Amino acid sequence: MNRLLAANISLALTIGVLLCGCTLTAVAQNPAPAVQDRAARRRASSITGLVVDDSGRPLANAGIYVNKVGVAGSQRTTSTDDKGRFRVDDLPAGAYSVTASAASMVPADEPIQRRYYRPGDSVTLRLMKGGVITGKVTNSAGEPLIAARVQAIRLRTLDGRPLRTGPGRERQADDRGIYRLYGLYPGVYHVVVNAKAGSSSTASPFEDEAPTYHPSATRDTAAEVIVRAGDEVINIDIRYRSERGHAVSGTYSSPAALGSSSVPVTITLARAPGGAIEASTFIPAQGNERSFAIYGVPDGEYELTARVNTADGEGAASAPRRIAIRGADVTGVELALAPLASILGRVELAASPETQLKPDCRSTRSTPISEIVVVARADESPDPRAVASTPERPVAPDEKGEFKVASLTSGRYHIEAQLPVKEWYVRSMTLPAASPKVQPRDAARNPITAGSGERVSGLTITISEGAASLSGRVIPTAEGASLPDRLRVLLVPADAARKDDALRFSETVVERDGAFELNNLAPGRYKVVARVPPVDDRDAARPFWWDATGRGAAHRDADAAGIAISLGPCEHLSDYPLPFSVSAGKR
Amino acid sequence: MPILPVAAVLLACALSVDPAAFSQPYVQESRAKEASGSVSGRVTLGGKPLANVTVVLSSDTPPWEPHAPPAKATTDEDGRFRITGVAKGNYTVGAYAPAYVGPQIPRYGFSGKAVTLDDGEAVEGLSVALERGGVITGRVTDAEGQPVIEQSIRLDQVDRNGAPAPEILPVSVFRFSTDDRGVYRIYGLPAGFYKVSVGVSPTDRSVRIGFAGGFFARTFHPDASEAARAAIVEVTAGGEATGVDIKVGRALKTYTASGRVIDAENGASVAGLRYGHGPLVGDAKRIGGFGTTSNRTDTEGRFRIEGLHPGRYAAFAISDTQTDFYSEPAVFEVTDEDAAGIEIKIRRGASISGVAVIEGTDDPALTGQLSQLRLIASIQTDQLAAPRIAPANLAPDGSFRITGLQPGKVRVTLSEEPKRPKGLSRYVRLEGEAADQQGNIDVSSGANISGVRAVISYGSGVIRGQLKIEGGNLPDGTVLIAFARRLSNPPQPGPNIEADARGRFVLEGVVPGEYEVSVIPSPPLRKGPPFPKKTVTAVNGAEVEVVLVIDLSALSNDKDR
Repeated sequence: MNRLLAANISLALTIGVLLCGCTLTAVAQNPAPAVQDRAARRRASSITGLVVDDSGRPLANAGIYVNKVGVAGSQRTTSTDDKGRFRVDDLPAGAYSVTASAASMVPADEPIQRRYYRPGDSVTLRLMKGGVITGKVTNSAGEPLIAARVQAIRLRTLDGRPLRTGPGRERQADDRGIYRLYGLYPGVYHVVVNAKAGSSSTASPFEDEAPTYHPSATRDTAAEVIVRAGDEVINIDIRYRSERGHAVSGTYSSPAALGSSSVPVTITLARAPGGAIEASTFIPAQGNERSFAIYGVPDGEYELTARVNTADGEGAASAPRRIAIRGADVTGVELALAPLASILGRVELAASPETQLKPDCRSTRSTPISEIVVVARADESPDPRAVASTPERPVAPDEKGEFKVASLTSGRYHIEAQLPVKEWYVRSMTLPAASPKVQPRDAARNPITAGSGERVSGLTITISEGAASLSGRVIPTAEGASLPDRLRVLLVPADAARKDDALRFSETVVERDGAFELNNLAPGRYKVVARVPPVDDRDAARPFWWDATGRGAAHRDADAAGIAISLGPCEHLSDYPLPFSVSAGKR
Repeated sequence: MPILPVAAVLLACALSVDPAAFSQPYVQESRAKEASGSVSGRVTLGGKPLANVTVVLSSDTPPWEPHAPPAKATTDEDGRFRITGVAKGNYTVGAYAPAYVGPQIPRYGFSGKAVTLDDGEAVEGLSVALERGGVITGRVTDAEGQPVIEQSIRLDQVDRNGAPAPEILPVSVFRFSTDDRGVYRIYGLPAGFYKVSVGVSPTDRSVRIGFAGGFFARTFHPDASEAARAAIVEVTAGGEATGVDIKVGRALKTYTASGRVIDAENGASVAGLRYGHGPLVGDAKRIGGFGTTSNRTDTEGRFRIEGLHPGRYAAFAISDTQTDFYSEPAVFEVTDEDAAGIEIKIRRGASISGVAVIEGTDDPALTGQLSQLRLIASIQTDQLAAPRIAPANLAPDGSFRITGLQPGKVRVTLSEEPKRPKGLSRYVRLEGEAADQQGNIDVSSGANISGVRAVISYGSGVIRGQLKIEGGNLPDGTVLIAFARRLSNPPQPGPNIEADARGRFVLEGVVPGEYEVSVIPSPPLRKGPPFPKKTVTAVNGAEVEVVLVIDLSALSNDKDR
């Protein structure tokens, strides 16, 4: 059996997220006998897995959704059997997302980065019972507000990471005014009646009225509800305020590129600042009349955007329009839809420049380049802990290595390549310079700016074989001391010429027992340090190496620790003991 | 954040939605200045005034389309309400009282009465009579006693002996489902007898696609797999039937159907096509409700339909844009294993091309919208036919080309997306050598028919009607739907609308021509008099009046109704 196939789960290159428990010792294997070959091929076109609850018991009848990265219209579905197992066969080479769903349950862990899988992988997905919020909705007279629409808005994770999600799934109060929201992720919530986003399209007499938050508040004075894993939080009652809101109306215009035919548009009203979605409305294709209106909006500052999803996947969006509602309707807002931006590029597999690779240093199977996942991350967040407001839209290169990230709103983007095998590392990421005399731009260190409708092309991601890895354990220097929470291990480039090469910075979360593991590393000299990250970038939705200041701080921390290592091509350093002084790591 | 699985449930007849609607401008105009109509009346509960209830005046726009919030008022101590500043138009007036039962079937969630209002008119004395609704509540568990979560509860109203009752329930089936404890609670039910069930049945005529996870075979309270063995639940006005639990069996096993889409001419596989499937109904000559995902055939033309329950189905390729090909549906059956090796054949179809014109108006506001309109062709054939959803766009000069037509009789309608402009008829008449009297064209295999005129009729005629009821009263809760039928050959359905409490109705946007105006009761009467019909001639830009007299003397002698 080829252990490597089983070990190939998605490795996030730039953030060294957790790997599965596979050991990383095998490098080369003898060629498998022909009989095993067929079995291996079958395995290599299947993703198999297991769905368990948080106590490890298998879950039957869980829905499984498998989607090929970058290919719309490739969804495969199945369900788990009585033993919680599933299997999806006949998958072409590529990277896949795998999601399990079961009514009222939520994923037991929420990784900051999505993980992707390849045919041949075996996946264990954990679900746990979601939280519950229940209570009673009454009107101003204290009578039950029958059929009131209740939604929960998750404000942040339990460890304080802010979220920008809008109101969640709507549930209606019954004839006693009692509602029950279930299947909730752990987190801190607002509970709201008559929200203007994510609610059903059945008729309501309260469309022109503003939302009421628990206990009987506007958003600014709303009480927070804390839901821990699997908790049932009771008596979250709401007295509906029945306050008239205001209307926001106007027109939208389509770009010429979309032609004269009309298209459906989604208008979104987000709180400014913060970006929490206050209201959204879907407008079917309207012919020549292109107007919109949103009702029941409370006073506040907002950003209004229009967005179109076109059949070709390119789409269009308007620039956000800032509006303020102060006790009156806002009319005549004009939103001009403009084409969205895209980034086009190519992944190249280049021979390792550092040294001639030993034969056993090469990947044992011919890994298709289409198993790489390329993600564009918006450099938009004023709060480095905030989760990006735009969903991750990963793409995969075709067999020639070409890829296109489309439907980007104008802004600055960082590109990440997540590699399928441990032998690979990202050597460089460049954009062609304006003039041939100038060096190509380093697209890893500097975010890519994509203007409205712009096609940024020529991005080259160079992958080489010969990646190194480092795994080991963080050991407190003081006898009997315990490791702090949120401890990370950082790798910082030690070569002067590479000092500011963003691709040579790496970080991973340290397990509770001190274990850590960093993969897909460029061979070279590094400084290594364990640290508790600055409060501002905990959970690292925004990696520290995106900014020169973050890189500088990492250098300072690494210099203070004073530990250096050298990793040769294909060198897999394991059992590395990394000393950590608890007092030094504290901030 | 988790990516939501692509999922859709398509129900039968999803394509034949024909809102006979007159849409209200949804950006609210300053009512005070232009509108001076009013509607007033009284809400009662069991004959007694009902205070503090919200009364809603809603336009005919479905709530999923852009619309202004409905005007509303709250009843006073005496149950009285008054809504002012109402523009002329057709409305529904009703109490928003979800736990009560109104006399009418709710439209889009509002139970109420039709009101046809003129400019500045005051409609008074509307009575909205409510009764207390009943409750059914219980818990659904599986074979292991675990809660069955997020399953829609289905109600069938029956008589005391369990025979099906014809009444249409005033509650939406889809609104009530089990929670995380398996508990459900349905309220606002009319007093009567019910069978309560959960799960899917092969006779559902709809498909669930894109969903994975547990489905259960239809099971009736308490644990019956057949309706005949279901326990009958009695609901009284204001009463609560508790402990209406259902125990379901094991989750249904589902199956996969797979195969290839090939070109019938050369056997080559066809990549990148969308595909769908639906259950076979009506002697296997028709596809019931069909579903598609966004999935497409792979580079080898392979398709795969997952999550199927046992049954007979047809699979077909489908395109949302015009192509030269049509798909022959491939029939397959799922019993107790996956169905593989299914071949869907696509064939080069016939085409119709020509120029579309709007007849009956020179208004540039309408003729200028020609390029916004889209044509949808449907095929009438005695063969099993795949659904067609691809619209044909019109060029600014009206020229069009419809391709990929399966042999048969081609009928063309205007697409409802974008929303059909007010006054434009849904039916498009084809004219030319190949066209028949009815404005349809018979196409044979591979024919290319050009020079066709597609005539879109514009109507701004108004038929204003008044119903007079003599010799008795209609049963409580009966409404009368007025409709016009165009006396063309063959007759074509025209607009319809519910007559208001005063027996008034206004049919707008009527295309010029001769019409038969009539009225039907809803729900239908078991025994009843023949309803009157009258013939009128509609003219653009003008009103024609019609009075229909309904003689109920025969009905009032029939005491059992």
